[in-house]
Order: sequence, then C-alpha cells, then structure tokens
Amino acid sequence: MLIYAAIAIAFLIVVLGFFRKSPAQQADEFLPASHPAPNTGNIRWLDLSERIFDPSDARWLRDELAFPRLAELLTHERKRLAIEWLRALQASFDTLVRTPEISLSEAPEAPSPGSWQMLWLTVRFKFLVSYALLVVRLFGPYHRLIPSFSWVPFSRESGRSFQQADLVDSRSIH
Amino acid sequence: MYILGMAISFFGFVLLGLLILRGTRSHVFRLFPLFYSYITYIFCGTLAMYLTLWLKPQKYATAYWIYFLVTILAEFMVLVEISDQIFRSYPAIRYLGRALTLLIAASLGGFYILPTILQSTGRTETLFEFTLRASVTKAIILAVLFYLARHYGSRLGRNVGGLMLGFSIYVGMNIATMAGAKAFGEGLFSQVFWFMVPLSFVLCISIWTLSLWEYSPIPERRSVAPVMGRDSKAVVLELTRFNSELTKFLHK
Repeated sequence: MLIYAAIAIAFLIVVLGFFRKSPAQQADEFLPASHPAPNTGNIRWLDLSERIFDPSDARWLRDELAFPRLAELLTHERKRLAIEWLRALQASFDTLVRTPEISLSEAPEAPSPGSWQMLWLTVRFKFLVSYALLVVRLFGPYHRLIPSFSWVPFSRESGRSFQQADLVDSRSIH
Repeated sequence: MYILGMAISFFGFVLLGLLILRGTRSHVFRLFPLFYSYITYIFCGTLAMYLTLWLKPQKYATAYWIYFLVTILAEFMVLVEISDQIFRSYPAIRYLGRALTLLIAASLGGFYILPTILQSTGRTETLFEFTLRASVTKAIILAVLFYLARHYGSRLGRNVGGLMLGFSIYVGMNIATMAGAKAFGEGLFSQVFWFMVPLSFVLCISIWTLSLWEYSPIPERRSVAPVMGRDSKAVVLELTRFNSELTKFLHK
C-alpha cells in the first residue's frame, strides 16, 4: 500500500515538475549546449579525430625518445580530447535529431518504413557513441573499440577455412 | 453516495459527448485519431452500460467489469497517441515514443501485469491488482515520455500538454484508489473508493475538453539549429553519414 502511495505521489510530482518551468530555464532553452556542435562534413574536424586517436606520437615518445612520463601525459591529454571529440560528435548528432521538420500539412502522416529506419539509425548511433565513450573513459583513446576475437579458436579456424575457400575459388577461376 | 457516483458518471458522459462534438467541429478529430477512437469507444461503452443498467440490471455488474477491463487495455491507445504527438515534428525520432511505449507495455504486460491473472486468488482481488499494475505501467510509460520530451526539448503545445496532464492525473488517482482498495478490502471500496474511479475520469475528461477545445499548433521555436527544417530524405542521409563515420571510427 505504502509503496504504491509513494509511486502515485512521486509520479504526480514528476508531472507537475515537468509543467513548471523556471524563467531561467526558459531563457536558456535555446542557447547552444556546452559542447559546440561541429559539422561532420568538415574534413578538418574529421582529420582531428585521426590525430587524437593515433597512438604513434605517444609510442614515439615512450619507445624512441624514452620519455615514458611525457608519453603518459600525452595519452592522458589525448583521452580528454577524445572524450571532448566524441561529445561534440554526439552534440552535432543531437542538433540534427532536434531539428524540426517543416511540414505543410498538420494531419498526422501515415506510418512509413523510412521513419522506422531513421529511428533505428538514431538508436544505433546513440548506442555506439555511448559505447565508444565508455571504452575511451575506461581504457583510454588507444584501445581497440571493437574487441578482437582472434584468441577464440573457432574464429581462427573459421578465418583460415574462409581463406582456404577463397584460395580454392580463386584457383578454380583461373 | 450512489446518486453522487451516478451524477459524476453522467457528467463525464456529457463531457465525452461534448469532446467528440467539439472535435468534429474544430477538425481536431483527424489530428488525434487514436485518442478520438478511444473517446468514441468510451462514449459508446458508457451508453451501453446505462442501457444495461436500465434494461437488465441483474447483468450490470458482469458487463461493467468486462467493459472496465477492456477500457484499461484501450487506455494504452491514449499513450500511443501522446507518444506519437510528442515527436511528430522530429523526423529522426518520430517513432521513438511509440516504440518505447509498445516495448514497455509489452515487457511489463508479460512480466508484471499478466501474472495477476494467471495467479489469481479471487475475482475482486484480481481486478484490483490488475488495474493497479496496469496503472503503474501507464505511469512508468508517461514518466519515460515526460523525460524524453524534456530531453529532446519537445514543445508540447496546449493540446498534447493537456492530454498528458489529464491522463497523468487520472493514472495517479487510479494508482492511489486501487492501492487503497487492495489494502482496505472490497467492503470499503464498494462504500467509499468506488466513486473515485469516475471522479478521476471526470477530472481527466474536463482537462481534455478544455485543452482540446480548439486546435492549438505547437509554438514555433525562435532558433533551433543552424539548419532549419529539413525534409525526411535529407535527415536519412545525414543519419546514415553519422553512423558510417562512427562505424569507420570504431573499426580502426
């Protein structure tokens, strides 16, 4: 009984909280987010990610110049930049998602496969970017984001058998 | 108490008729098809209940509970309508609300609501428990929709805002009423609590009638994004580009 009473009260508080907006919140509603949203079509911005996630600088410092502390500092800084970059990518995506469509008719549109496809792409992106952020936060920017399954005997064998099959195919073609 | 309950119920019936009449006149009817289907069902159902009470009063109790159970399920249509309306102007997430509503309803329906029928102890207790759990499920869905609407900065407008507020009050009151009925038993419910059900519905219908009196378009944003108003095809291309960039990055 008590738990359901608490649920009912909490629910009504949530509802009333939603309809009550502070003036400051209303004013801030359309201000840009803390992470600027870059244009993904910008080549320079995409190149930046290549630099951020490239481990060669850190390796060069650690292995060739023998500055492990400096390499560690660089990795730490790159991790921060990687997180910022991923957040900026997410912000850019959110801006796209939050862009309203200009529709001439007010009537609801009939369900179309395109809308479900867009939803799938949105959910997929959100999942992948959250996963990438988690991996970068936990293991740093130079960790493989998709785990390698080379240690699994099955995958090695199947890989080999696929290669063999390719060879057979190529021989049969020639 | 009986007369009071009947008066509340009849007032609700009049409001339902008014809502349908106003909906057809102001063309709001075609903008909220699922919601008005539900309202029409409730109107016809209530009329059928009055006729049963007048013509065959001995069958009223059974007919009422069957109608009541179907209504609980039909109320999910209102949630689907609300979820569709919240994201209507955002092509990328147009069906996000609908997908989540159906997902939560199906999962909680299977693991939380259905067991009340399968492990029933008595008819009245089962009905209370079923209604209570269905209301909790609706409250969870509404809370998720509220969160999403806030997260994506969706502007509700008077129509959708009213739909959500009215339904929230109804669901919240239902949870409290059914929890009370379950705790204090059938006796107290038949004396005191029973008229809380039509009362909560009348409150809900009053808010819906006021908010849907006329079509109120969602207020335009002053500034939303660098690119204003894309069409669906452009959004699909953009979304695909974002996904392919991220996938390329993940495969490195």
